[in-house]
Amino acid sequence: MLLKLGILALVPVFAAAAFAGAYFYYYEGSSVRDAPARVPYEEIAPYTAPSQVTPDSPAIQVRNGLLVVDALHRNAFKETEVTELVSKASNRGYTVEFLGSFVPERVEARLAVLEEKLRGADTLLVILPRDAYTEAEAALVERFVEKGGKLLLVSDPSRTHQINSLAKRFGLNFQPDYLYDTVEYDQNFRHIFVSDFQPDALTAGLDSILLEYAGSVRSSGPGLAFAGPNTKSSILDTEETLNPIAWGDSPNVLALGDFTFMVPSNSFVLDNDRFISNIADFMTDSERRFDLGDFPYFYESGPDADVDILLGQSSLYNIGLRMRNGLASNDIASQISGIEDTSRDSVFLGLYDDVAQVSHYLQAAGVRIDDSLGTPFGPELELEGTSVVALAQDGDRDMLVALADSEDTLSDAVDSLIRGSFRDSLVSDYVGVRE
Amino acid sequence: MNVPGKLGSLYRALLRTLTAWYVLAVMAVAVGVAGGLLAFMFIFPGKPKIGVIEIPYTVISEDSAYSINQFIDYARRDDSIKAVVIKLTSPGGGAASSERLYIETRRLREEKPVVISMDGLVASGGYMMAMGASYSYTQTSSLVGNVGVVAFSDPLIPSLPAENRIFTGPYKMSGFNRREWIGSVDQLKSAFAKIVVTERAGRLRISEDELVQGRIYSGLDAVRLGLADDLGGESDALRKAAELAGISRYGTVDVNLEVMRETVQELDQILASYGTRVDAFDLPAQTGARAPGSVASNETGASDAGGIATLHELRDLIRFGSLEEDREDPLPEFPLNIYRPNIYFLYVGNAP
Repeated sequence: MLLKLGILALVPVFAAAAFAGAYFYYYEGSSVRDAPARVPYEEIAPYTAPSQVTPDSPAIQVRNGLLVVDALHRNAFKETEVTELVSKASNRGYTVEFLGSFVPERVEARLAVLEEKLRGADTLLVILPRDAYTEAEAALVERFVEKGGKLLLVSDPSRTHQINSLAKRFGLNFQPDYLYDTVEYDQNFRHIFVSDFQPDALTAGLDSILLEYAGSVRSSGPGLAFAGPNTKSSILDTEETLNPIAWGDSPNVLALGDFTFMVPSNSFVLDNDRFISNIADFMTDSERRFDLGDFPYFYESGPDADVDILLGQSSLYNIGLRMRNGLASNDIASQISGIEDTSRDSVFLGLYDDVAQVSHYLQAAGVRIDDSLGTPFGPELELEGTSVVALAQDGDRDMLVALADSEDTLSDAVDSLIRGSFRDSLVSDYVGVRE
Repeated sequence: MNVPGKLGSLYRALLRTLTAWYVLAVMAVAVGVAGGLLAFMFIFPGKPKIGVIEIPYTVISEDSAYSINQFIDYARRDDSIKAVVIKLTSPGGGAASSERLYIETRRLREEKPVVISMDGLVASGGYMMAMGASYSYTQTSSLVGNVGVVAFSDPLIPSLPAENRIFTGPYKMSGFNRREWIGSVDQLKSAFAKIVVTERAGRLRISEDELVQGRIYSGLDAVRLGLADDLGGESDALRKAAELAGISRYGTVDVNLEVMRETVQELDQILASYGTRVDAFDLPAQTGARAPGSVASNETGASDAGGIATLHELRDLIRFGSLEEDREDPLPEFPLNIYRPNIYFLYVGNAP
């Protein structure tokens, strides 16, 4: 009986052995059960906007002037995007005029418009030109800056541009990079804070500004704002401090490596609004000098402007009227006057016989009229068939003198002044002679 | 039984022999072994298997995520599959779809080991999916990483709504203002980074700050920096999966093929009630060999000529009764286009 039980016991024993054998044949160990750790999403901080509106400076100094905004070069911005800056310039008394309409223009047409408008402009704002400035256009702007005009160059690495075609004239180079900071940033690593400023009127009152998509600017002039220690350039592997804002080689030229900071709602973050106000102050503080080639823009335009037209002889009255109409077409009011007021801007129209009435102005301009006509850099000329125009400036007063050998010649000279063709006859910045 | 004569003698001799203890013992052993093996076969039916999911170059979209999720679900349901190997090549794709695949891969791994074999490119949302696995292999020639988000926003100054649009809150139309939206995108980036840092805890050898730079690494550097576990290919992945599952002798299952077969069968059952079959829809005979995502479908959603039907095409067949794009506008009276949020975990490469 015991033997039979023993034999019976073999069944489960060998069943278990077979089971285990089969198991270990296929399963040599235990399966690793993974219990993934919980991802700590709660550690991610909620976004809080660093909004802080700094109101515009209440002490706005109102000045007259013309701010010209370039839209001749298919510039990559919309008018609505510069509303903040432009309205601040306007609040400061400047007239704002957009050149062109953001569409492709013929190079010759562009040059003609730029040349004409820069004559009367105090400040030129160039934002993201997609068409390059030609050498002739850049030379025009360079001359404009030399004459005290302000130039603001604005770029942005998130939009295509050819701004260096103009910027290089002023020792500036907008780098093909963008600045970023992965340590301290607003919302996105490309939205950098700038808190290190060179003391300057442009940086007055600024603690920190936010630049949304800034690029660096290399300049032969001084830097104005410096990126923080954690800010890096996307392409420049450099330890040197990066400048998103810098002066050009002239104190009249300012370069901004970011455009988006001035666009609402970015314009109302941190001290951005204050910075835009400071830029508006810079743009409307032009010490633009005008010469004869800028006729008639050396006279102030607008409702307060007033110019006396003085006639050497009463027979020149009709020519005086044409001059008055010509000035009026440029929004410059004038009247024919019999007596010279040395505190007012004036135009003197006369014949060579009237030279004694304006001899001191001609002398100041280096013009001599006796038996012949002598000018600073021109040859001696016979008087017959000639006319001379000279601009004398005394402080804020501009006195334009136009003399000719006959009424017809004077009439032609006035017409050419109004049309602008007189500029071909300039022998210096302040004297022109027609033969 | 009493059998006379010679036959009876033989019978008695046989009975004695069969009831002898040593014969009974042999029989008991045989019965025991057979019973043990039968019990084993009952408890562990068939040879243990490793499910292989193949995801050739796939931009993760809602459709491809649907199909991949079907594969993952099948691998989870099939008890004979003891471990899963996913052969993955993907630059990522839609943020929500990529995260869905990460979540589902992670869920699968809670039940059975999942080993990812990264082929050419496993970037962004593809890399996020890989974070759900137990172990990952990459090749030296692979490109791995690219943690981050790509999104699109309104322009700096969005256009204002027209006067004929009535809406009940300042963000009803847009859902956000631009700054908040960019902030939300940054949060997504942080969440992605948290996933990687958590899943690669103890193995990652770069900081979170470094990680979110969005760099893409060679397979060699990915292993060196802890973004992947080891260098190797599919066979290494199979061996590792077997090791993690504790199995030594195994078969493999082409999960793509099985899912496609299963789907076609289900579809046939549905179509049978309409008196037709899948064959009537000109689906190629060979199904399932191609994974989703490498979906070569034209704009109408139909299979390209000579192509292989994919799961989401079959799904469309079920939902719309046709592979042709004849979906009606769900809001025909609504005068505006409907946009989905454009947000991606995607490696887009260098734009020309």
